[in-house]
Amino acid sequence: MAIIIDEKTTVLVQGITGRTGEFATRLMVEYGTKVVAGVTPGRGGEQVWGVPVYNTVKEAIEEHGPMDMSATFVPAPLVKNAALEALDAGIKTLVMPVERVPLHDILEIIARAKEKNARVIGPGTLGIISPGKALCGWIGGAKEVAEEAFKPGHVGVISRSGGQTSTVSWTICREGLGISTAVHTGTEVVVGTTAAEYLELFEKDPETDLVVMFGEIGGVMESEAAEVIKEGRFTKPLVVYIAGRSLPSGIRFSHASAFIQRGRDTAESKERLLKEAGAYVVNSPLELALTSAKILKR
Amino acid sequence: MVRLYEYQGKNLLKSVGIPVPEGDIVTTPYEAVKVAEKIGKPVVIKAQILTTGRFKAGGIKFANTPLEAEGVARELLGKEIKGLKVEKLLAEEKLNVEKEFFLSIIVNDSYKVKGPTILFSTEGGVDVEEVMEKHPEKISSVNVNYLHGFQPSDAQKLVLKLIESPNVVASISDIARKLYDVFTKNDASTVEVNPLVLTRDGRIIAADCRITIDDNSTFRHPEFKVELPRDMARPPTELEKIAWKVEEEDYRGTCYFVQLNPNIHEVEKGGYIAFHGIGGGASMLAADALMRRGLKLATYADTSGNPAASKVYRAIKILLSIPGLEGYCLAGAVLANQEQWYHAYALVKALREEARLRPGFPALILIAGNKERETHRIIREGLKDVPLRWELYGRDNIYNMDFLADRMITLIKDYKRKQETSPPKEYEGKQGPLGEHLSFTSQTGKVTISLARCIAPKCGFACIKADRWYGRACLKIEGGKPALTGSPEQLKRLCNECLACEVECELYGGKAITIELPLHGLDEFRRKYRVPV
Repeated sequence: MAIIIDEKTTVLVQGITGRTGEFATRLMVEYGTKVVAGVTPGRGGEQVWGVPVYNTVKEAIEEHGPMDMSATFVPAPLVKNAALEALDAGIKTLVMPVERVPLHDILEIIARAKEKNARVIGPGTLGIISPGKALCGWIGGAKEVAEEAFKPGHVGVISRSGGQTSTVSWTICREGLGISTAVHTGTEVVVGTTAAEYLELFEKDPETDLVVMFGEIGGVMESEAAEVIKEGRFTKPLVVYIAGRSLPSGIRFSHASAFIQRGRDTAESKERLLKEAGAYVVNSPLELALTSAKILKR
Repeated sequence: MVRLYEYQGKNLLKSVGIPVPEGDIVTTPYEAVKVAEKIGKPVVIKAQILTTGRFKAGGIKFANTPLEAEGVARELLGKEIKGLKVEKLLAEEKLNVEKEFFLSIIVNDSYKVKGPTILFSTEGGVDVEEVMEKHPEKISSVNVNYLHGFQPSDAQKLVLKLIESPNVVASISDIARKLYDVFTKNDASTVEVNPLVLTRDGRIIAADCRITIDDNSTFRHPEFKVELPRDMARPPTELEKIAWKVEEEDYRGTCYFVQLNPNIHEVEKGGYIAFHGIGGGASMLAADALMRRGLKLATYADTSGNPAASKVYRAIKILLSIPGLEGYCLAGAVLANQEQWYHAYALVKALREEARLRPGFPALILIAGNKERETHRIIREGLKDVPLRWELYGRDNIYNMDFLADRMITLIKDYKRKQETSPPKEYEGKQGPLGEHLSFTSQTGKVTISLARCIAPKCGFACIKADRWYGRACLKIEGGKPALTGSPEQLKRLCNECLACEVECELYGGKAITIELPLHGLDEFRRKYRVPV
């Protein structure tokens, strides 16, 4: 089953003729994702890696029928328009890999998605992958890395870091386990789908036995994961590592969201809440894989 | 998040009709007198620095007369408060406070909200976090649907929960709605008025304000003249400004650079290493592990998102410009998606240069991911004759940070025990006159090939092979020597600044290629702090 994406998911690529759009399209097509069409205004009629290009989302849908998912590979200042176009055309899942999207644009996109009952992944996500089935975004970077880092299996992965999505998954697979779905939540201060929501989806997925989370300082994502467990909406084992424990507050570290502001978003407070809820909190990223292996092979 | 000064924020409040105290910005004691005279009442004089707790730190003072105002201004201007130099003061009428409130707008990242939340409290003038903990009943909040905006009825509901007087409710809810306009019009990430004052004569006035602008939106707001749009609670250091220039002038990938200890004089005394990560998560987890093992990090840098080798090279040069360093650590604790050979060439070029200036210096390198084997080959070959204490690790040690920290500590100990004074004889830099040469300008630098020093074909055309593999075919063979494949304009666009041709020529050829990648202000910085140039 996996969550959100599988081999049947149809994908549209917005900004398909751009440098990154083209790169990601190649990766997705090679991996086996059903990339049905692409959009770049003014470039309709072209092809990218065998995928037909249209001028608008509407045109693409008229030609190919409704699509499940759109990946928006357009420059940050233009992301809002692309996202709203996809939502208005009825696409229910947006994967938004672009970083540095203006905050108020994100707020508008998320509000519109809510109204349309659609899901937004990111912005600033490397993407999502259900190993052996499909990937959306540019997770893995190259087909051979994607295949090596993500083997099919029963561990769900939620990561606040793009690179660590692959790295954590790779260490999990090295322990003889596999991944049901791995997702990078995104780099921005507010993202369309948070850990709490992914956990609820993993709870319903019969293929997922356990979830691993690579957390970070800043924000409420990990604390809310604890809340979801406490409320009984996630009952499978959750293994969590939180990066940035020793880093000082008042400086943003790499990701816009990795910024301790108010004292409640420190590693310590998140770890405390998660432990209280019954999650397995580990002290190093390597233990994510080791602890998962111990739990699942028990 | 770019923080605005109080006076900038108050100007924004004024522009939407939120009452602020009468007053003006002053930069000299004389101006303070003029403003105090114009106000004609006791004034408060507030240092314009980006920090909280200004009152306790002595940055806010009162003056009953213009003469006193002059004295206060003289005292505050130029003073250092919490490490920040006071250059501007805000002189305002002193308010007769009846009651203090708190009003703010934040972006709520909770999965239940993912939108703006407006907070109001009758306990103003203190830290709102404290109020939340001790008196949650004295705070009310409303979540706003971004598509619909902040409705009058919601604003009233927000205030009515805590206040009865209809006049006060009407005024504050009106101010709250105007504050929301400030939030949306300026792409703010937070706006906070604390305290919002009810004066004894019944006016409601924003006595202080803190506004932060989203740093991804600064391109829409040239009016704020943002120097360095990066989240930071203190002003940028000299090196951070140099690093930001690199980021600004080269869109390929990212180069984050912050000084974890901004106090150069303290770092200079020793005991620190330069920390350089690849990717956000990797950098954070590695910095964590190293610090836990007792290492002191002078910096936190992160080069990722597939940056050009030239950008990574610049990052390393900036990192190694910090005085008193005892080691360098590249912690790529990530199975990177990007092809890592650009990091390899950057590392080799930078470390070959630095090795001449600081022989024996420890360098611990962890790099893994896409094209890892090739990447390691480049580093191993490139550093084999270099007098540094370097060690290289790959994917097998990707999460083995404790071990790597221990290796770093061992290398540092050894370095401190017997510091070499000069590089060994066989290791020398480029020599001989430039003579007849080719050159072209790349996107951010200049490539020069000395035909006088070139030993081709004896080297097997190392530069051309490197260019074919890692570059974009800027070079070709002509008459047994390297030649350029296009016009300067074409080459400027073509060259991807992979640095491979220079490094390979240095290793196998006549050390005939030089790629200059200027870093404005870096040499001056190094001279100032006695770091070899």
